[in-house]
Amino acid sequence: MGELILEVKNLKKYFPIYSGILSKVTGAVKAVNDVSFNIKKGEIFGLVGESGCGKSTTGRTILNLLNPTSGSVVFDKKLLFDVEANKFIDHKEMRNLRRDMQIIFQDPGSCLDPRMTIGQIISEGLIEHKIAKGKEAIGKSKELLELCGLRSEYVTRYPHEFSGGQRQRIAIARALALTPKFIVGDEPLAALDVSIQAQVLTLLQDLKEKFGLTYLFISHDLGAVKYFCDRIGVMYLGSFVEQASSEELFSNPLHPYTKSLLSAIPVSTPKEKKKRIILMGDVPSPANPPNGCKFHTRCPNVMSICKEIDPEMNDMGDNHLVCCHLY
Amino acid sequence: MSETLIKVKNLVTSFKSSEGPIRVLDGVSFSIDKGKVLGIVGESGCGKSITSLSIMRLLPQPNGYIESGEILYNGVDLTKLSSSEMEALRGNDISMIFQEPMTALNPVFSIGSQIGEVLEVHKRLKGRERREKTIEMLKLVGIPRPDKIVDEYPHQLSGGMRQRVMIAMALSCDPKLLIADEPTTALDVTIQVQILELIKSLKDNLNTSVMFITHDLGVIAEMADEVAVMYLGRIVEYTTVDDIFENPMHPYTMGLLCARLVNVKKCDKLTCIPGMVPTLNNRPKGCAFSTRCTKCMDICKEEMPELKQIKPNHKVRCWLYS
Amino acid sequence: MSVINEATDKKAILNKKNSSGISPWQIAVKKLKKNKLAMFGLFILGVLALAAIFAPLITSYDRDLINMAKIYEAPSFNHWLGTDELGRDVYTRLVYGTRISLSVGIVSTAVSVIIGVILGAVGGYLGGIVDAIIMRIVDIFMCFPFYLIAIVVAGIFGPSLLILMAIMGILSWPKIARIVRAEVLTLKHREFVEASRALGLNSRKIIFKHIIPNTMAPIIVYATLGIAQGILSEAGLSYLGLGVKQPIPSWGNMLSAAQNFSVLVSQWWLWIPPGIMVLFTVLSINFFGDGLRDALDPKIIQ
Repeated sequence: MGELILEVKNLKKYFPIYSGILSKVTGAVKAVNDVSFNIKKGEIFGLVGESGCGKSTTGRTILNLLNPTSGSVVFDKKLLFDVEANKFIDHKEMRNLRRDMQIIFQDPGSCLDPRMTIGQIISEGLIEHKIAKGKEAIGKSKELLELCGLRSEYVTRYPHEFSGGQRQRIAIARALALTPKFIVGDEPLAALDVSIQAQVLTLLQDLKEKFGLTYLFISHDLGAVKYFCDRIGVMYLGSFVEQASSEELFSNPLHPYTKSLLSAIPVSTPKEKKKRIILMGDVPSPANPPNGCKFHTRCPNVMSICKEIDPEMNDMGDNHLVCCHLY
Repeated sequence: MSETLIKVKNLVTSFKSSEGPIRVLDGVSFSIDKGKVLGIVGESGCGKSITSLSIMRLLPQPNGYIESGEILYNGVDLTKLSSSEMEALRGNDISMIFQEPMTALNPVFSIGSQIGEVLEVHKRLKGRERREKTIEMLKLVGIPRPDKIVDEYPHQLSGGMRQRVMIAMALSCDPKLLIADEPTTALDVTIQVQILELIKSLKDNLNTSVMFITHDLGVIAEMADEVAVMYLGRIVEYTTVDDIFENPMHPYTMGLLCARLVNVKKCDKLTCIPGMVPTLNNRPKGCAFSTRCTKCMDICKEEMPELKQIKPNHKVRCWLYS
Repeated sequence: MSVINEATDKKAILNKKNSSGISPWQIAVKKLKKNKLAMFGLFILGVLALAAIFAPLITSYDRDLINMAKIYEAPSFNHWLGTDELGRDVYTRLVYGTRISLSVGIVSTAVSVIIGVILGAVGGYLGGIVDAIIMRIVDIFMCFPFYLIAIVVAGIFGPSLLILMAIMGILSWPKIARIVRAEVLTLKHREFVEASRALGLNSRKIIFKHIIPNTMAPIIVYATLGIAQGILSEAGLSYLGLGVKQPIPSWGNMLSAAQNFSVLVSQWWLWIPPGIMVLFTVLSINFFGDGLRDALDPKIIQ
């Protein structure tokens, strides 16, 4: 514990925009725009933000499922890539490293191949990495299903025969097949009913304790993140505005965006009255982020410096990082 | 004393299927007073959307049909009206806003023409009058630069803006009843709070009744005056919003409240409702919740309890109280 | 209290009558069986296929035996469909013609499907320059007018069954390639493909294990209707004398008898039967293909 399993430095991922008859690159969607954070072994790191803030893209780029535009990522002391230094992990090594890092997706409807049986889906990784094959692989699939709270008979069934919550468990079983150290959950609860969310979260917690896993939990659901995560990073338009431990963030939010986000959570009882911080305007397009601090167009505490200079990330003590000129 | 605007009595809605008729709503009864908000809570498969579609008589054809029951709107039974009579009501007296603003708006027509369509059909407004009223509605729902937006297309607007446009469309003819079917589920939380505040203020200013369908109890706490909790096509608890949070009686309601993550402290274990919602053609015998209820008794597996009034303004469908 | 495992949950949620799953194919087959028109089409095709295979058993005359004494005989008890200009039994030739027409349709479609699926899937999945090159090749091929090329090739190499099948296959793969590519473009962004990449599978494995099986629906429909197209093309080319050579009978070259005006008017049994066979076969294929398309519609599951 205390050791870092993931170190992300100045990560950027831009998607080029093509236009014109000759499909010239006329600009870029700056989905991830200078992101830096670390995750300790055994930690649950929550990545929070609204749609378009770049959290999903960050998750995928870290796993090398998308090619980074710049920055570096070190996973478990191994360099995945350092774009500036032109160092990239070799294909074979990356393939082996994939066993240690897995991902669970948001939509249980499309994360399982509809034409394969559950057994085939779960054992795909095992067969690919030659850990097991044939009957042995199916046997392991059965074990994994039971581990995730499903019956082992389900190995011969097809995805469409299951509900959203069950499919998400199958996806978790598939991710566990390779005994990973690190799992990225890209909004794994978003498409599930409230009562099923609780079940899946409990399962994820149990698995973490059993196997000593580390999670990167991407979500827009602040309630889930508050309960589940140890440390939280809030993203806006491609970069972090604040990072802190879960208790610290919810009890003492510093960045104006974080404050408005927390104030927007619906009340928990009808008698509760909340003071709402309503933001003006709309989220700017990631293809055209504002100058200076990206949040200045909507910030209730905007100052003239905010329009010119992009603030640095400052440590306010106890590893509570904020990116704001107010501090 | 508020007057009752709409009263639904023992509504039974079914779907024809290759395996015979499937009952989706099994005797749903509730009422909404003028100027009040009824929140309908439930998870997938409970029938909340079908309830709204039944009231609007917009059930998917040819398989959906209202088997029995009454929907009394201002004394008139909606189930007995002809389709042209219903068309006169829809958009005019009773309006609906949906969950997915992108798919609910026609991508090839401008915002102005879509809102204008409603005004033309029901209020016979044309030309300049129609355009002015359209811009007025856009202003009412808080859309900036309404005179520009009126000529833009849905894809040019963000999700929150599109939802506001839908609300503008729904309110353009001053409906008495607004049915909101999960209007904020697909929106970010900061936009959600704006839309909820908008609906609240419009309700207060125009005295519109609202039937608010959601799975989010937090939204219910924000919006509703009364709450009906639905499970597998039936209402299992029906009371005021304060009572639902302070004195929940049905085990399912209690389970839903406990499953909310906002209140739970980090170290606590989550209390979960075990199992899953049964499919509609596998309805359990007796109480529909018996397969998942931690307090299930023998009678629960045999007979279905009735929705009984246990306290003033508080009805529960549970053998624990009968 | 934590999650109650389904393993210990005695109450069955899903229909547990059979522990083996129902694959999407089985659902489609079930739907197809309910479609009476499609089943009728399948039945006719089945009969034709059997007739083609067991041709010697259901005909009594020699296919090519010339008998100048019995030319242009009208249908009778001995010759159900009469005889042709060389005294050969028309019915026998019609049945043997089934073999040719069906096999030309099937083989040419198979060729175009194999080429088209691989190129379409590879181009669609890999994108970039590979896709651009493949699509330009597709564009070039689609510029070729089929009949013109067929006539030219037949002119150079002489009419031949093999050449016919090859040309038809080679000129029709672009259509299926485009269809497959369009499907692949949407499929490759589906999360189960990303999940496989996260598991470490390379592009080749993903294309063959995940992408192509999920594009089978439009491929099957296209192939079925492509067979009909093949039969019609063969009929057309053989009618023009560019397809199957005599003495091998095909519906197309039997139809070419109708080029003679007097045959057209007085010897109906020479050209109407093959015409009707083409009509029925193509109709049956279309009924079955339409039924397949409805059955394989992705909105099946509910």
